[in-house]
Amino acid sequence: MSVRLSTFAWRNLWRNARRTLVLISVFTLGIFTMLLIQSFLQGWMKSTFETTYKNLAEPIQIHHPDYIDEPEVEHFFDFNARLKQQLENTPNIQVAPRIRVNATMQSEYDSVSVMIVGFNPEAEKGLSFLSESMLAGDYQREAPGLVIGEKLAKRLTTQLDRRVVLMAQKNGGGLAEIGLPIQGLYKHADPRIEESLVFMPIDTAANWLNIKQGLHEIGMVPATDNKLEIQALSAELQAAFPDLSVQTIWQRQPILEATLELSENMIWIWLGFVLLLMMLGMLNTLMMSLYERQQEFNLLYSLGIKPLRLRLLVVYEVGLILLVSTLLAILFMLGLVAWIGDGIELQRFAEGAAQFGMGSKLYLLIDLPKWTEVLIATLSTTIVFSLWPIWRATRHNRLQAR
Amino acid sequence: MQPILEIQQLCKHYHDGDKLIQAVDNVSLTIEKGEFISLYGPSGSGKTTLLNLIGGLERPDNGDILLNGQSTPKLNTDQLTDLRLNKIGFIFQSYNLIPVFNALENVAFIMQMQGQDKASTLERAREVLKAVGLEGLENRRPAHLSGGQQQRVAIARAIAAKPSLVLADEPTANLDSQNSRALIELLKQLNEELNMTFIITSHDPEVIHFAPRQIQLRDGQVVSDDLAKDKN
Repeated sequence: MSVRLSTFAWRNLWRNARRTLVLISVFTLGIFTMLLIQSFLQGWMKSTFETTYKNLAEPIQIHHPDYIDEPEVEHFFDFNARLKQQLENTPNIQVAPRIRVNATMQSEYDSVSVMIVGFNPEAEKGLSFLSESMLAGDYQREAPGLVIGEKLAKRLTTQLDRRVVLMAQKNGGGLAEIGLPIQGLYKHADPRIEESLVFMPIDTAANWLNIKQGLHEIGMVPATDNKLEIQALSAELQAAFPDLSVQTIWQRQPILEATLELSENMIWIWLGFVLLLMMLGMLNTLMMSLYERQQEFNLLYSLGIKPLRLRLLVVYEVGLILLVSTLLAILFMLGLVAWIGDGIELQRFAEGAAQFGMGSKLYLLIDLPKWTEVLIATLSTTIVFSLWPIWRATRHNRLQAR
Repeated sequence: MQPILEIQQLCKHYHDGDKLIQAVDNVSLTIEKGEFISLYGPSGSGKTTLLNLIGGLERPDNGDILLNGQSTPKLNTDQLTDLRLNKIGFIFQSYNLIPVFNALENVAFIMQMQGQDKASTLERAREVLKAVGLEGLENRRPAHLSGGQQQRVAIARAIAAKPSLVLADEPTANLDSQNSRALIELLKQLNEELNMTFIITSHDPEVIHFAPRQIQLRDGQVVSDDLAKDKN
């Protein structure tokens, strides 16, 4: 019988095609808007997250326990065989060992405070921003040299292949000084990074700072984006190496975490607002339609159709409108996602966005669990909201024959 | 033989502001299976209210209605709806067909609501449409049928599920005299062929006098019952 009711409901929809099309348009637009906002937010969050970890703030990092609070040269840890083995045995993970210390960089004209990053070019490839941001020169040369930001080079009034002097405190005490040529220049959206991060080969840094096999940081990027899986991996490593500090990006940057969570909560407020507008439109149209069909309900009731079945009939009608609207909204979204492709780089806003730690790439992310949440919220709210006018129109005391 | 319908001291009143309207006032009737009855009287005499009370669409204030020996006022709303679905056929003045269904589907609809399988209901619907003279028009929707044809579909719908009782509320009111005559002859023919009980309200003297038993109502009371007169 339910098949028959659904046919009846489907045909009823097209008795007033214009009204049905208006309702379908309203719902399609509403659902599309909600999916768009949700996908945009998810894309923006992912972009922000990726931008953050490409700025040497990977999802998981290993440090000496005191390094986070006091990033001093002596707060290094031994990159021993056991740790290497553990990381090699961890599947689907990219690892970048680093030395990081504060230093002073001096040219013939000026001197500035910088952060030295001793890095392994092979390991860093695709992990940090460096491989994608080179402006001139080469960051993969084996010969000792530096890769600095273009802005820093301007500030020091220096250029490619010119030598600069670095001074830093070395392990065991005393001042370490080294003169190196500039091998490469990079460009970064965030001027603070461009003016402060200076890269040199990790072996050069280790020798210069007298820390031999020591590291200040291991950055790790797992293949997964799943927060729980990343947290589990971090906890596993921490348990295996209790003398080290293994932290996720959410532990190291709680403000980023809070910002993203706040954004996600704000989006639900916005979705609620859109949903409310949709409900008002739907209720208005549905009540008009039910009022016009009072005589038909009376007829069906007098023919022996129970009020519950009449309600089911109208619920079917609302459900079919929702189904068509949902399918259309999903189709439009998939079309838009395909059209935007890998995303739109908003270069004009990149610098401003970077200063707030945000991504500058606009793209839509199809996050099926989030889409499901939005769709369930929309569909269930609509059905629940429609029950009241349906119940009113099909109450027994309103159903009189003829 | 047990009568198909017994109405005992039936009363129904309405309030129109402060005014009390006695729509049905102490009506008692006994109707045998296979009877063809016309119920007539001026507007406001209580014909439609009496029909609605018999059909379980309204509840009486007093009195009892026994359909096949079962007291209908004692049934709850769902039981009354089931009773209408399974035991009573309705024919309305304004046809009241379902506009999104064609003639065949309109006739089969009630049987499908009863839970009968689709194939057999469609077969039965075809059979009944043929009986009412609508062979070949099965696939037309109500909008593409004339008033007389629509009322024939409504008749087919009312009798298709073989109800015990068919209630027709002014079925010829919207038809011209030719169609009206043809329709009432059809109803009488079905009554004789199927031995189905018909109660028809009407203002039309031709329809009224066509019925072997004529019951006149005035101010909610039975003022004449031709069969009863004959018996006396």
